[in-house]
Amino acid sequence: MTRKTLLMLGCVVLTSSSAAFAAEEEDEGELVEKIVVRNRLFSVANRFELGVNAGFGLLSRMTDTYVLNASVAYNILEWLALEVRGGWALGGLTSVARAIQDDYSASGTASDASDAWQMTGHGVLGLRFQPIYGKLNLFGEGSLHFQFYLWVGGGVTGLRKESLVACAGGSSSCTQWLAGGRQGASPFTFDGDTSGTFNKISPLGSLALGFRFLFGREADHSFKLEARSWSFLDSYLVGITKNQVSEANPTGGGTEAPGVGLTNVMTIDLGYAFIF
Amino acid sequence: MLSLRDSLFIAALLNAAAAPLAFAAPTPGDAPVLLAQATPSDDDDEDEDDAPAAATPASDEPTSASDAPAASPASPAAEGSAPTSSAQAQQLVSGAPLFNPNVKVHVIEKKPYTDKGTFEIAIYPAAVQINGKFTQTIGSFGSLIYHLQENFALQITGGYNWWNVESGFNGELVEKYRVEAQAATSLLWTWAALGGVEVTPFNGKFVLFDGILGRFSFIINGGLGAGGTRHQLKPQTTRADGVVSEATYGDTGVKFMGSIGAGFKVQLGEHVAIRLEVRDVVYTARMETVNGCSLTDLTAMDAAVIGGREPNTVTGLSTGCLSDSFSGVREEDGYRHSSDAKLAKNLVQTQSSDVLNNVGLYAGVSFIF
Repeated sequence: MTRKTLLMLGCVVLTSSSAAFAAEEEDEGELVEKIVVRNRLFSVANRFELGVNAGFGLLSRMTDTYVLNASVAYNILEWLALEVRGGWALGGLTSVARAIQDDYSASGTASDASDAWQMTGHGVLGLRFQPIYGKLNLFGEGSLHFQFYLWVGGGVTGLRKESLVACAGGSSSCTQWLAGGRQGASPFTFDGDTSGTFNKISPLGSLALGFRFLFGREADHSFKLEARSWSFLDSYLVGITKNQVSEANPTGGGTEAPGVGLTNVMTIDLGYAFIF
Repeated sequence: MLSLRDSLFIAALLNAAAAPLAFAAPTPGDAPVLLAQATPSDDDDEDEDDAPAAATPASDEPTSASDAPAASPASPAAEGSAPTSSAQAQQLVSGAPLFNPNVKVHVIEKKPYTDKGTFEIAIYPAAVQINGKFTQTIGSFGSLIYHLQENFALQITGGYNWWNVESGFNGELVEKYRVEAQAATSLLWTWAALGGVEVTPFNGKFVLFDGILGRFSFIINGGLGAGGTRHQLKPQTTRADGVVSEATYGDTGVKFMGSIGAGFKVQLGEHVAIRLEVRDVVYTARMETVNGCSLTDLTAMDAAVIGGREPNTVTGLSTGCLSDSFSGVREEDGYRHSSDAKLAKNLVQTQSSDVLNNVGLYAGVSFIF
């Protein structure tokens, strides 16, 4: 073997080893990059959640809505959870609706307004798709881990209506109640009504988009921020003869308006869940 | 003459000498790294616990807490607690001992694309009002953004609400209860031109189904400018013969406007991004003129209509009063525009003012160059 051959052999070894190291270095960089993004700090699969939520209506036309919920969820997969939510909705008439009530007179016929039902007790079962796991860099090395989710589900809700135009008890008692600061039970409501005109149970659909931010050593806690829609069947009376309205005849001869669709209540919800 | 043994020895020496250089040589894909000692309580980053271990070919054994102080590559603990060789443990990748299983490594990735000095054109085909109580608007907007710094940009936004009508709720109030929102409250926003700034305080990354990686920025923007407004004069009606008579509108002038918004920008490659923002456009609403005509003008025109004349025959109107807009007959349904003179007069006569918020969802795409 000549010196020339040996030198060439040495160069080949040197070149090939450098190339190999360079390739390895590239692999390392690629590997780290993938691991950095793909490895979750928090894993939620096969874990339960207990949570509470509070929301307020985003757009109040005839009614204001405030929702209080408790929830139980099971994370079937990292990206899929089954959740049951139930609770109560508080609310009332908006200033616009109250202004219409204030103009009450017992004469003539009138129609009630659409989208005037107020949610009460409700429960929904739904699937939460949470395929997006992310990290938000805040300050320095601090970061916020989150999941972005779509929630789809359905259930039932109790509904209660306070009429804008149908008042029991006659003109004097209605105007006195309005003039007296609305003290006591409203004569515009008929809680004892069982005809479905002023109280009813309706199917409820719910759809939500939101973020939940994960905290704790093993994602023991999460805070949610979501936009949620609640959709239920609307109905209202038309042709109410106001002077015929009474506790015994809450409809005043009115009939259900035809072709009434859905009422959609949008809420912004804040929530907390303990994950275990 | 060198022997074979000598030649191989020299080659091995050169090889060993070149190896650290090969590792240390920066490449575009290198991520700068920041070192930190591993402590059991320091787990604030998803990559911290797994990245070094996974990057180390021979680091399958879990790192114990007792090994944590072994930040030094020469630490005996590092040598003794993991099968990684001492030589490997001393090797640095971009300054980081990735092969040392006892050192926790925070990886701070480079932004793959720099924003500073770039222009961005954002197009929002659909900007939908989401707080439409008395009004409903849908429009198309565009923004030109120049990024002065990575996190700070100048922005010009303009657009037109091609759908701007009073809401069905307002129509129901009128139809059933003969009440409606005061004129200023139901003022319709038509167009806008705003200039302002955009800041990007936070950046983030996400993974979809553990497979598709993405990066996003949280953006906040604000601006000032002006925009056009109009007000409905006559609602849409259906006549007894079945002919639909379209609503009529009067121009109520240019108003001062401000906007503030926040949202997300998801980067799709170097030159394209998707934007989803919520913007609140605030403007003052006060009804003083309709189609450039003051209350005096409208009163004179209404009197002329009562007298059987067309409004555009009235003389002495103020400059800018478009009396022709209150004259003539609409071909489609025979509606006489002179009827609008009285409606406009009633709007202006009832003094009203309000500060309106048009909160909209702006979804669009942007091009960066």
